Amino acid sequence: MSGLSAAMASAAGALEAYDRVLEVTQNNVDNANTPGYAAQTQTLEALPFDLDAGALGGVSAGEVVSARDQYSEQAVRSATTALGAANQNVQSLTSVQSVFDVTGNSGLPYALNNLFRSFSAWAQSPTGTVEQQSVLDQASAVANAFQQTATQLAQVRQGVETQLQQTVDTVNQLTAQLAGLNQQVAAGGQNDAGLDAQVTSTLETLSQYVDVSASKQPDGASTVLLNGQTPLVLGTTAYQLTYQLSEPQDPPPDYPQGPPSASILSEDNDVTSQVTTGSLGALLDVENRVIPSYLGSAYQAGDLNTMAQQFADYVNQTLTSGDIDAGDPPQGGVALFTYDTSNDTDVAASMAVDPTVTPDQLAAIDPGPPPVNNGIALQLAALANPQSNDGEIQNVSYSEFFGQMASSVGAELSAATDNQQTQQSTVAQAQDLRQQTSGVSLDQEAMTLIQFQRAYEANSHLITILDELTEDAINMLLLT
Amino acid sequence: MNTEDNLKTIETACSEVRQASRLLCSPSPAQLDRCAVLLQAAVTRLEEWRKLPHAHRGAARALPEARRLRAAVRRTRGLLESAAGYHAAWRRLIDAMSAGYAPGGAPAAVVRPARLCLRG
Repeated sequence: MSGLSAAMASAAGALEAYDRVLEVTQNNVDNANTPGYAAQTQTLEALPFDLDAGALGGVSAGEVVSARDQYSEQAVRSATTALGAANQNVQSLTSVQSVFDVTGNSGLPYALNNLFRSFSAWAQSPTGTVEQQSVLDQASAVANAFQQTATQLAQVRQGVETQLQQTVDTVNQLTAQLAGLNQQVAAGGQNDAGLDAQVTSTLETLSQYVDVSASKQPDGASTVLLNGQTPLVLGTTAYQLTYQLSEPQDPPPDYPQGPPSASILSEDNDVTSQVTTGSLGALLDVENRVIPSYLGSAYQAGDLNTMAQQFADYVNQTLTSGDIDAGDPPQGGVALFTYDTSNDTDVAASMAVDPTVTPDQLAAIDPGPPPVNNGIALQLAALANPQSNDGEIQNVSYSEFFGQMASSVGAELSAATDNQQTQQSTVAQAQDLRQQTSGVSLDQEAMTLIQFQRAYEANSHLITILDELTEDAINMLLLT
Repeated sequence: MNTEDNLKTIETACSEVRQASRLLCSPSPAQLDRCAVLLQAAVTRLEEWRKLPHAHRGAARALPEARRLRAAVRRTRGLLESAAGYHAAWRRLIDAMSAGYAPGGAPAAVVRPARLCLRG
């Protein structure tokens, strides 16, 4: 090759390389607003220069390097997963809280107050037909309120179960999409910035639902794992999750007729314990922990059922220990409430007033000795403000016990709302940190990190002092 | 100090902590320095308030604000911990990228000689 044509070939090669640089730059500008897009850089490689060997030097286009940093991408995904869990917690706990009205104007507290008042009125007039009828009516209202609370909680549970199925379906759709994108990468799209953006954006969407970790393989395909353990996407294969409701067997259930638990399976393996966060993790928590604490499960009766059973048993035992009239022989009282005695997790939902009981069968007389003609009615009226363990449930009155159930949901919701605000800020922070660390030189970064470490230590010390001061302030204000 | 002053003290401390938490959404060394100044101001304010003989006046109005302050402190702590965690792990990663791994599998120690930086 003559010197002139060699020089022209070298110049043409360089022009081609710079053309590629312009192409990559243009691509960056075009995709400035594309979700998940990260700027790319076209590297240039020097060609060997050795005239004797015919190597004329110049440059050629090398690899296209993405500014995206896998570490900061994973940090954004982790923050998004925590936010997904926080959002779902707030949504689900708000539904649960709506079941517990503590104003005393409706629901179970209202019905209990009315029944206690009717017991008091009956104690004033133990043989009064109107007062006896009122006790029956208010007892029916209490049974209905227990049933209604159980039904409303069961409806919340049904809603959560529908959401669980929908969330699993969405996760499966997203992992199938990722497997499809991997196929396109394998078909030659390794340096396709648009494909890379789609993968990143899909992974970010997926991370709202489950905790995923993703890593790039040498062929450019993304491997996606659930909680760092269970494969969701390997190459061009997506591993589907399935959701099921079943009675747990290990350990053996204490309440075999209790409501089933939700579990998540991957390839027939139970991976429920790996789904601890994201919106799927939060839904599982509400389904398997929060609602069973009221309605029961294979391992507990549930607070609402325990309360219903103890209340019904106490009223029934008190009435049956009394007499309707003190004749010879005296006529004993009858039980008022009925419920499903075969299933401890179905007490609240099945509670009712025995329809065969008539007002004149209510036993007001305490046989003593000495007999008191309104002793039983007084004992039941005392349920409003019990003075001893008699008529209490776990050392508090029935109304207070219901209040405790309501306040525990309230406290959990309040903590979830605080956490939601923190997680929103944490996602913003992770996105900002991703921006800061993309394409930064290692040398520069090492220097900045030393500054960061000092600043964190100073701030952390101040936060600890502030924490103590705030607690002191609240305690001081509470004491007044 | 009257009731209004008490309330104002807690409100101001709360506002300072919230500002610090907003700065932590974009943590850079400069932002963290500003954050420390705000937190220090809140600490000084609350320490002085605590020493006052009538600090508890107007508890009914001040208590909700104190609880908001506690929530803001917790949020700030959460953000500080997540940012610190991010940089700690990033630093380990950079160390591993710079110096490789020690025989035990941990990132090898990076020798960081002192530097002199001249700016004209």
